[in-house]
Amino acid sequence: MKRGLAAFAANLRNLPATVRQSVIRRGSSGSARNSSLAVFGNVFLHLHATRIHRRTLRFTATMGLGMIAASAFGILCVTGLLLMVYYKPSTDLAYDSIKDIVTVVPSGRFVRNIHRFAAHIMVAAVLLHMARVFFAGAYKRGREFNWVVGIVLLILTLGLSFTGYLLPWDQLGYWAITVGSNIAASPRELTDALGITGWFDPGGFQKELLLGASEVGQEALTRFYLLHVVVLPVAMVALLAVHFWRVRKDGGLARPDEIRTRSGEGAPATDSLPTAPAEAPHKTYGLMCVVADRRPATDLDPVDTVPSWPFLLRAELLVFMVTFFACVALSLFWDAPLKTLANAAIPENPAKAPWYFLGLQELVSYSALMGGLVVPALSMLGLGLIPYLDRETADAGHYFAGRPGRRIAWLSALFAALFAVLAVAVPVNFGWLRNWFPDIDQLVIILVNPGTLLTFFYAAWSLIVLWRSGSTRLGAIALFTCFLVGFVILTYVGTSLRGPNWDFYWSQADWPVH
Amino acid sequence: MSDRLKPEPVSRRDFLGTAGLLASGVALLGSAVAAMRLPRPRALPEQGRAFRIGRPEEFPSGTSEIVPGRNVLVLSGPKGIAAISLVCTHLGCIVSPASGGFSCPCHGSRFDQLGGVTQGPAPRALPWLAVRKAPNGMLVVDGSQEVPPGTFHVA
Amino acid sequence: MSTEDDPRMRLAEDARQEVARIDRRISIALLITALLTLAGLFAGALQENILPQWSLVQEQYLQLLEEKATDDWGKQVADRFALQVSQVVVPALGITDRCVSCHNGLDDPRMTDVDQPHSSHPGHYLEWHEASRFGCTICHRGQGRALTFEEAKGISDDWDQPLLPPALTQSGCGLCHSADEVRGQGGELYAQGRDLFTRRGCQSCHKLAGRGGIAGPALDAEGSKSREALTFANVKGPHTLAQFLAEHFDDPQGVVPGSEMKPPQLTLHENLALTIYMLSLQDRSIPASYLSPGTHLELAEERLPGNESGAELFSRYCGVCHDTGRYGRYDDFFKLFIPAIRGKGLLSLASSDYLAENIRRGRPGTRMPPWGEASGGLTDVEIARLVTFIRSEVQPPETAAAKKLMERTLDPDLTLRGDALRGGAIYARHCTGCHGEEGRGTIAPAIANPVFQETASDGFLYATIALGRPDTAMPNFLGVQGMGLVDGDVRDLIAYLRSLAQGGTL
Repeated sequence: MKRGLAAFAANLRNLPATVRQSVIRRGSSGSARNSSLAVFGNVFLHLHATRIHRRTLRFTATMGLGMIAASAFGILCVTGLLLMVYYKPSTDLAYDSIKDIVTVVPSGRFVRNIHRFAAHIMVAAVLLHMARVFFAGAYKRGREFNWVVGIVLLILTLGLSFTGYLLPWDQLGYWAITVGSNIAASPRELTDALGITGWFDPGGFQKELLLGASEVGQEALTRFYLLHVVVLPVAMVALLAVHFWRVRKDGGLARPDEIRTRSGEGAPATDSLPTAPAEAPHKTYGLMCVVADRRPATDLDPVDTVPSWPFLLRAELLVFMVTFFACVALSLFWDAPLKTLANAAIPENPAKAPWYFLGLQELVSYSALMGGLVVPALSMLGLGLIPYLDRETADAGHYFAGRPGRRIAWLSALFAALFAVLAVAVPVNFGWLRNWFPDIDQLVIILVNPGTLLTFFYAAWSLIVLWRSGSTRLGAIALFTCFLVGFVILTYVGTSLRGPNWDFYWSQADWPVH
Repeated sequence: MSDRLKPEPVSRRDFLGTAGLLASGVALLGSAVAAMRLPRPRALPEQGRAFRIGRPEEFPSGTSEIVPGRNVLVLSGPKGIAAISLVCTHLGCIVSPASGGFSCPCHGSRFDQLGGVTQGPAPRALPWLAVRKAPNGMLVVDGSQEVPPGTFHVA
Repeated sequence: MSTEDDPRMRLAEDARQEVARIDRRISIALLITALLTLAGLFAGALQENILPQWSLVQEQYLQLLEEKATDDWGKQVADRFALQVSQVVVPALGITDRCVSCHNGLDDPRMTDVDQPHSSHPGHYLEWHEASRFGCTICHRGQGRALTFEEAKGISDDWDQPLLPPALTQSGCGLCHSADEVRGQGGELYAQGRDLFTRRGCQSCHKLAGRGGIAGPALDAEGSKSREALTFANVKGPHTLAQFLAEHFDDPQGVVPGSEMKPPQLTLHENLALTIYMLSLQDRSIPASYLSPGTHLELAEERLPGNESGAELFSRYCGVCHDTGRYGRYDDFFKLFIPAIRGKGLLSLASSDYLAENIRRGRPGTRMPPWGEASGGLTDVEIARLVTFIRSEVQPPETAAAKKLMERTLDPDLTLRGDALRGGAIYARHCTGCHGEEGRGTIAPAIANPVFQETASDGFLYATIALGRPDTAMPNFLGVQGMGLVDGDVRDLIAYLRSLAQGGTL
């Protein structure tokens, strides 16, 4: 009895230590082994390698963009859950529930603002992250698939943002989604022109699938809510896990060959790696090469690498905190917009989608089918195919593949800017085909409009670069730069230079009083 | 290479296994295809596309009025009564009467008084909808039936 | 082997130092960001919890309560006053109004002498309109859910129903009350607005509850029009519906370029009254239990023949164009000639059926809309009253010949035959100048008009040509005293006029 009590007291005394041990199962010393255990002993952190190349920690290596996007997604998940506590996805109640969130729910306005700004930040970070990865050539050498996963994540990000836009059920969202869902129906432009809509109507099918009715209403709200809070976030989490996992499995960050060399050897890493015995079972190869290195690594960390814990994780926490701080700071000064209640009889004027769609909206203002579906779909397809069509490996990990690439990028940017400005300036000043030939066939307008011409010229330019330089990498840089610059310019035009009736204005101050 | 790594001939068990795998795949794919029917109800949850607008006498020549909640303009002239949809054929915004016709606020499409496109991205004219007289003498606009522009219902 | 000697070790040391340097920077940045975030959250919490407007207002109000507490009861009231968001929720009207979070003294008569937002509600309205049943925004508009005055006013583009200036709140009366009920009970302006609306003949052009002309838009939901449906380019004052209406009444064409509305020429007071009445015309659905008995009656009257006399009906539905109707005149505003429908020339010839039928069916293609029940909303009883009023000053025919002709006009079966070809030549010579080619009408009425053709008998045509219209520009054409036509000429002319109907020139 006495012994039992003593044991109990001892257990009670040791409780913190035993609980800690049971949870994290490693010692508290900062040894290399404990650092490694911290990462691979944890199901979440295990997405990281236990050791990373020290170059990963440098700001210029990633600029933290992927982590900003992931942080913003995390912030969006948490603030989204908080908003779901009060939000009611019904056309009668949605608007009032948002009004209540911003008026009487404690911190509601703040949380909603953070949700809004985190969404903006996430989209921007995803786009910049893609550009960074592209210009670093980090889609090469085994990283092709992860690039494709990234493209899908970009689409999911835009989808999340688009579906979230409708939920407040105000004029802004209602008309942006009306426009968006009719873009889904825009294949009718072609089928109507061909006169086959009666029996082949993919546009109508897409729109009905999205809206569950022929116009935006309760069914659409239910579907968008479902997509926004369940379908897309779950897909996002699953694919993010794949994305992170592949970053690790594909060898961490892409880096130039010379950086990969072992310290003091100066030869490419591939040379210093021991060759595996021909007969060796593939699976144990990685383990063998560590053991078979010329110098046993018992007393010395491999000098090029640092343990993920705590170095990388601290850096990641920093990026997260910076993202969070940006959201908090912006939310203190600006409120997320909430227009008047949705009104199906009077469109918002101008009816503008979120900023990252306004470049497309600019193209859509010539042809809904081309600008809204074909050009974006081709862009996404082209982006996805880049790593499979550009197989040059020499410059992987180098920003812009060195000096020639930088030159091509600058030239392409100039070229793209010139044509993007022309694509806006010509129709604004001189009108487009229908102003010149009132009876022109719709098929001609579908095929020949500023959006398709711009795409054509960008593709032609990159083919010229490819032909002149003989390098697929440089051709890819030309094409990507063109689309990036075109996207930025058109987005700027759509956001700042378009006013009521989608007319051109140099500044919002010139808008006619409504 | 050792014998272990040599491909083995297909055995009966492999065949069964492959067949089972294939069958499962087909079954799952089939259920997925079947589930794709779900998002499209047999009747859309909305007002009927055909609606009554009133007796012919309520639309004397010169009338031009928007049917509340329907985004349809009913026109009455010497030639009869017609209904024009006010939903822009470009991306579904509601056009509003402007000088000499209609204009769309979303992307600047303009239409003439009979709905023909004069400017902007709209791919085709504003649809004219069928106007019919129901057996009880009331006029009915059928939003699901488009008629050629310029078709007037003669009262 | 020392580190200096082994280049490999030196590089390793450099690498380690670089990592240490980066890590130190990261740690410092992390610390700073975390502190900044904390500061931001703190600022947010401050904004949220310490500084909201309503709590500052309530603290002031509590002070007022304590100052005013002269007896035990007053002290109890002050003690019981809790700082909290309060609201009025009226599910039946879809109202959630948090105005009372700042307007705490609304039903406390001791607060009449204090400043807003603490003061008591002026008048005795709250005695009859219990806040929990009506809320605030039903009359005052504004954004009820808001908790700051700026947002509650709802004057930004993000809210459609901005707070009404106090002078316009009477428009709320019209949601549940008839004009007569509230006259002298605080709803004078609303009642006057309604009187103006009927007396000034607004319904000559605008429909309300299905009754009225078609020249202007129907006004059933004018008072709840969205701001997005209006153009404020020419509105000088604040961009609200009320301001739009008021400026529009003063200068319709200035506010809405191209408007065909005849300026109603209102005094300042009348403008206010009519604006209030317009604002009361809302499409908001009010449960029947909220409507006063008078309103039920009025609603019913809107659809059934009311008690209005012929004269009242005339000024309500006809006056804007026909004025008194005693003389034909050129209307400077509408830029057209308007017939003298109460002139003795017409009335000595036209039958009551002719008048009633022309009112009922209007004159298609002209400004005269049909007024029959299905179109303009006037019942047969009302049209009969109108006809009686129009004929009230009819003069008996002066001469025996006229008397005879008059009798002929009343015979609907009388058919006159003639040579239309010859009639055409006569028409070209004598009539085209005023009645236009092929009877399309210019400054005189269109004879080809189908309703005219169907309702005017041959006898009526004959008598009109023969006698002219004494009080208009239409002279008498028959005989030596007139323009010299003989009986046969008139018959030929009538034959020609009848051919115009088949011509379908319209």
